Amino acid sequence: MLGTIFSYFVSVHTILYNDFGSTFTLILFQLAKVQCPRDTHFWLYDDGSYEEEGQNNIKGKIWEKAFTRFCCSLFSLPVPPANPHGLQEDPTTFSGRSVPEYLEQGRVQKLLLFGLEGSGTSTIFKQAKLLYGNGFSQEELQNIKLMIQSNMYKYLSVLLEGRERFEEEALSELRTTNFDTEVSASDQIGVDGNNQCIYSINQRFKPFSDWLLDIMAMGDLDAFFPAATREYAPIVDEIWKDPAIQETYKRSEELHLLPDVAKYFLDQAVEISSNEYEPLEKDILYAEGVTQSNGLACIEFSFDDRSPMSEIYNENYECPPSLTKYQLIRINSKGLHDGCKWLEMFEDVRAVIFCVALSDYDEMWCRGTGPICNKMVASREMFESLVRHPSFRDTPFVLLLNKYDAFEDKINRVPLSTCDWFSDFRPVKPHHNNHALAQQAYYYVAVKFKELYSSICGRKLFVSQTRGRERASIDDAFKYVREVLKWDEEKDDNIYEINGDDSFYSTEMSSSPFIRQE
Amino acid sequence: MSVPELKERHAAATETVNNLRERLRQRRNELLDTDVAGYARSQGRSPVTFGPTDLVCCRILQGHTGKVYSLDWTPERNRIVSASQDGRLIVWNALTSQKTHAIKLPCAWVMTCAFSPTGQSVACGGLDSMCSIFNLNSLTDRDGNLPVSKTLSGHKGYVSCCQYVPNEDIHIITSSGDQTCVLWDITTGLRTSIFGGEFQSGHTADVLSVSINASDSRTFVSGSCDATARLWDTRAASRAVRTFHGHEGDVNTVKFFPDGNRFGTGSDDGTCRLFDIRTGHQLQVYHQQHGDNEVPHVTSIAFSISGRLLFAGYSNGNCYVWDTLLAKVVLNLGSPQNSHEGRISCLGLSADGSALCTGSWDTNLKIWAFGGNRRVI
Repeated sequence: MLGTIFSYFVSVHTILYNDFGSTFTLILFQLAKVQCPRDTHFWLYDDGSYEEEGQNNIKGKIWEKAFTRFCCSLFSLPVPPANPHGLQEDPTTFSGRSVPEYLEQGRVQKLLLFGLEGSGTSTIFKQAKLLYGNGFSQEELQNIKLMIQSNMYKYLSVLLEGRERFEEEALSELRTTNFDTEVSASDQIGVDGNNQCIYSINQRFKPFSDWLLDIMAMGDLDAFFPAATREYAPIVDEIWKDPAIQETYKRSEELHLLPDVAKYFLDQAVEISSNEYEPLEKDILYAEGVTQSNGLACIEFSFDDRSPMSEIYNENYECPPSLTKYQLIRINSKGLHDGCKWLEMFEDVRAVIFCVALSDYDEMWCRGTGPICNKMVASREMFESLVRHPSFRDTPFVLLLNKYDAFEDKINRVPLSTCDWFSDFRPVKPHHNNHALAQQAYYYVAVKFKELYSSICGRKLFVSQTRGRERASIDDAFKYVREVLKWDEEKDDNIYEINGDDSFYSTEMSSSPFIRQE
Repeated sequence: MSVPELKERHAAATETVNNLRERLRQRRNELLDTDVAGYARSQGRSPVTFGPTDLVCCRILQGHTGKVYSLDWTPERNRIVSASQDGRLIVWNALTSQKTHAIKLPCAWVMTCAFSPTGQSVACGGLDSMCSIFNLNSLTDRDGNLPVSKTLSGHKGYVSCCQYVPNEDIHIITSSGDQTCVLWDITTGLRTSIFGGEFQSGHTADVLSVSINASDSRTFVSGSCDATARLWDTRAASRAVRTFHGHEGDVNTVKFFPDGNRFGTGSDDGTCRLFDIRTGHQLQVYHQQHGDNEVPHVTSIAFSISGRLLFAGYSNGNCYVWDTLLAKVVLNLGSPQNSHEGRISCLGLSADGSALCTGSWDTNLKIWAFGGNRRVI
């Protein structure tokens, strides 16, 4: 019934609000038998007095009539506050969240994009830049090119180091078996008398390999690269194609520092190293990081503010709604640790968008010199520390479970319970295909995070899945974030209960609670 | 040598180092028979007397719309530059309270600012991992903004603090969240020296502040989240001259004592400490008991011109004036009438020592001057 009242009234009138949502304010006015001529705008104050916009004379008080107050309590509409003038907002308490500043017209809504290294934040940021920003300038493209070039040498050095390690292990193993059983050299598979194995690299690459590993170890890589890229380009390609390195690459799961994009770039070593190289869009998105210094990156943009909810309100609007400005801020998580001081600078963000790569559930992670742990667990710990941080006490969080495509591929080969946190995952059997199992696993992971979030702060966590490399997926994710912000604005006046299911992103917009199902 | 063998030797070496360190610590404790306060009392010294009228707030600089994170005075001519979360640097004339420049920054998340020795340029750095230099005399561009005259990039983490090397506008030292400090040549924009880093004996956590010795500008001290302060010589960047242990929390701020033989530090553990660079001893701890609840962090410190007074700003809005000799608080600038309404994030003393400026999260800066007959000490 309330729904019917709602749709009837809203098409005729518009009311500006400061503290209460416009829906029930409208109903309030109707109940109080206030004349609401078409196209008039009213201001309603929290003590119930109202005036016509621009008129500056109080016309009356909404809650004067007992009938109105009765209906208010019947329909769970706002009732007069016990202390009509409220507590004077203490000007000395400087907290970014004490006043809903985000409701101020024209204020930029800041969104903090954050996640563990490799969770996809830089890809998402770059997609947003291509979707809503001005793309990449010449200077930015040049920087990305340099970044790709110097990263390529980083990948190569990880492979060379891994190769040395595997060679060492293989040779020592063979030495011990040689020692135990007096087997002739010819019976050894892949070994000849010269102490070689499948990981032994062509000797002429040795000097370069030693030199590269040295400068990596000393932290001097950026003293030489990308400046020396062209000089060493041919050798990079040859080394990458060397059988020893290819064998090493087969065990890339054991090389924790080698990202999955390494092959993509090393395959194009010659093209990348040339002076004329211009990164394609795909290269830009695959490249690790946004800028070489990996400092803070931010873009400002506005959406076309068209969501199903605002459309209902705006039907009779003469002028278009003012576009909300957003500022997407992405920080490299490398600098984050306990007691991090600079997080306080983000106290005023409108929402925190936390990214987790779903495909991390079976990967290992080492933070600096600490012990190795499961990467998903490391993500969870970072998530937890953000949620608990005093600066984000009242900030809504949106969780993006990213790399869904890689996750889908992996889920059938590697069980989800590889990660301890997911040890009680019991998929419904039989599952016919990847999709069904992946969907189940995704919901399970989302629920785990939601439960964690709720146990810390008692609020609902909004979750969505993304595939960082598909632009449409990122566009959907940001539309979802926008919806979340709108729900958050109106949560205090929430007469329509948002139940758990609606905090999942679903592709059908009609599942939003603010639209009645016909 | 094989990898497992190397690992064994590494573990053994680490243990030897730790044992030696422990022995050194014990030896040092034995040698420390007294601290500054103890010695001063034994000499019959008494604390400086300070009344509320001796240091008064004579100016309030209003103009920022966000928290003030950092400030710096010019070496002469009494101008102040301040950096704020609103993404601006404001240059103030301290005597008249006028703003001479309001510089919009390319990256709004700024953590530090500094005035050059000649007063012609200001530098700032923050979460963008770069240090930007602005020449105050250059022409503003079409939008009325002062252009960046130089960008110093190369850090792999945020720039937490920067200070120009005294007497010349060419070199600047920055400290960063990437655990290093860097000496830059501003004319070329290149790094002259890197102090610390992944495989060198530097800090093992974010470096939060630096202070250059005014008496010998080739030495500087840095404070870090690894709870140590390190002394460096710019001529030998590969390892720190000395590491000072003692704090139990992040060292947020370091400042050289006026005579250049000592320096003070302030930390998250709520204490300030005085260290001697020649002997390496911790000379004094400045600590006020509060009660069991939260210990306020020391956010910034400064010494008076003779060194007799230590000004310390805390995260709860207090600003204690310590008598450095007797380790007693002689004044609290954070008392109700005067105080800032938020945390004090930065403070600095003017070049002639006659005024103290404090900056706070309440977006204001306050200038305090020695009043009445009180002479500057």
